Amino acid sequence: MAIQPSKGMSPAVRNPLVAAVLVILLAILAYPVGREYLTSLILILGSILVYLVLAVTLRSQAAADFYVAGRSIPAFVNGAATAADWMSAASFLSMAGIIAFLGFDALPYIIGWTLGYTLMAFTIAPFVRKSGTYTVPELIERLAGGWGTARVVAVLMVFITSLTYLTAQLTGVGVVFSRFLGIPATTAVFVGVFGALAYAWTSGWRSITWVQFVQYWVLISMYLLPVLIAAASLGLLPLPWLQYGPLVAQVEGAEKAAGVTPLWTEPFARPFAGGTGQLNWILSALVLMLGTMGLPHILVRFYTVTNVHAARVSVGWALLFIGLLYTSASIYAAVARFSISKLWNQPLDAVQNTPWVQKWLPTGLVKVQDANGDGIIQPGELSFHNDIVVVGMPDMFGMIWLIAPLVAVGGLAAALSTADGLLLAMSTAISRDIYKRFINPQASEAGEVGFVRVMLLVIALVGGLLGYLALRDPTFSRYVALMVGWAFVFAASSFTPLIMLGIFWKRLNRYGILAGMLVGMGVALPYVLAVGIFNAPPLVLFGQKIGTIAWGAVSALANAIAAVVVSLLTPPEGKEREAFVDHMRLPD
Amino acid sequence: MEVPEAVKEWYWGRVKGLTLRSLIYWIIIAIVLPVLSPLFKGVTIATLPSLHWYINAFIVIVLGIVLIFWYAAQMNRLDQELESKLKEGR
Repeated sequence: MAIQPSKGMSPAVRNPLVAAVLVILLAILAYPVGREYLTSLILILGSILVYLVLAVTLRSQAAADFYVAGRSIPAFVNGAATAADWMSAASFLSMAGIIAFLGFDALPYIIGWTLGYTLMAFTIAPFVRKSGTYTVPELIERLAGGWGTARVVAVLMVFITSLTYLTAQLTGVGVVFSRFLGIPATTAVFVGVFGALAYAWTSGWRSITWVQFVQYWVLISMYLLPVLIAAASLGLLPLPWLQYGPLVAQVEGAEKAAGVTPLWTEPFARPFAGGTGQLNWILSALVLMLGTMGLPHILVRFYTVTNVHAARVSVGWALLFIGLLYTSASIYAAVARFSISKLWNQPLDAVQNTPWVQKWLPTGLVKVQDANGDGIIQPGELSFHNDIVVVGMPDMFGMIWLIAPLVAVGGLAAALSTADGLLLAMSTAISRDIYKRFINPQASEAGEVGFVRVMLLVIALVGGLLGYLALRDPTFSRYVALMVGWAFVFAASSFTPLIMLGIFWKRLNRYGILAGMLVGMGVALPYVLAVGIFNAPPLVLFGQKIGTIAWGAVSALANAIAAVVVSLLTPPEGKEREAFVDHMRLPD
Repeated sequence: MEVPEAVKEWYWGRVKGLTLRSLIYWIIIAIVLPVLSPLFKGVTIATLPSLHWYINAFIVIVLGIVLIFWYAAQMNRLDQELESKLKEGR
């Protein structure tokens, strides 16, 4: 086990702690020399160094450490690591902003990106742990009665769902650096590549589990810090989660007075992922839930716990830790909207001279344009980028400059922890599911670990290059953002129905599994491309437009139906699959 | 661990029952409550935001967390029963 209670402090605690203290001291000493800029730079780069020290302390050459952290992670730690693995640069930087601007209609993100964990807790996570497999494609192969083809197709699905997601994380690192330090994002993206690569390189899931555990606490503290300070100044303490009702009422009061429609919490007034209406709203949420359960970098987290019981409990911890950020996002949104509403119907120069507006105008995250030339700024003449809500909050409330770099440290932790999970999910799929399974089954443990490391390097560089392109080319960047949302559609249309059926229905066979994956993707992909990229008109059901994310409900259902029908039409799998399923169903 | 066929069936039957119950609770939490939430527009309790918002932004997440720990506790109890059954059998 990585961290054991022993006499004296474990090196895994001591070394990063010493590094953290040194970074903080250096940041303080740097202040008289380089002022705010240098101190911020040291804090942000220093946080990368602290995780690196932890990863190096935990280095290992064992294949089991690389693939499943030696199956040694306690439930609580795995819960926090899962939360960090899960919460990406987008959750940290953009989600609160999306809620601030889309209001009620953005809530599928909140319920969709949380309640999948609940379903996962009793349909997938404990069984996946008990399966004793090392990767999701390996699980799929075993469920298919040991059929290699299913495994190869599954590896392909891992890449489809993970690569664009990785690109988005590395782009997020670039954004954090350029916003907070003015370093070109295209350069910073390779700092992200280096960080993510280094943590995974030392011992795969073993090192990044503990790094993610630390990153969770960093990201959640840095996320809550500005919003709690803002809540304090608005009199919303001690528990803003229970007290922000009057603030929402105030925001909507200002909206009514300024003639803003629809009001912020008005249901089904704005489109979501290209769809409209309640049906699209709830189906989108459902697809985000089902997609969560099929994302390989999340499923792998449940391989790393000590036993089946720990797997069940760790999902609870994971959702508790995730919920802390997700329930706070609405407060962020309400507070930001309140600050923005204060600018409405003010004279142009008063708005332009508001300190936080003045600071963020050059970045383009805030735009002020007196379109009708009356010298007064109406609500429609102000526009904001989603990201302003979290990164701009310290300035909206005139907080001390130090808060901003701390938020950057948190955003970086969110991006790096997710990037690492994705990087490892892909490189282990290539090494264990392709190299070891088909190319060189005799590979020694050292050879296998060496191969994982080479793959880490290759995939990290590919991800870095894609991130670089996304930052240089806004069109490419738009596709990346769309693809990240669709990763959930693809995961829900490939793995989720099959893993659930594989555990609960013994009659599922190899042909059913293959048919499910192919039909699911075959139904998902054309619609998503046609409507999402080529602007084809979306399907209209009961007068409501079905957007690209909501469509995932149709493709997930198609996957399940194809799997059942094809299984029933072809011969049953026989003893091997039956024994495997029986084994999964019993506790250890 | 060699588990007799009858015990396996008993255990899996109980797991399925519990899974079905959890699934029903999950459908209520993740689908039914959010779908019905707009009906609670304008309903406020103390300093909470209007319930149509708050159900989705807070309440269902808390219920989702509780359901996971409840299921884990139930399964734990079931696993202990299984263990004592197996001990009796020996």
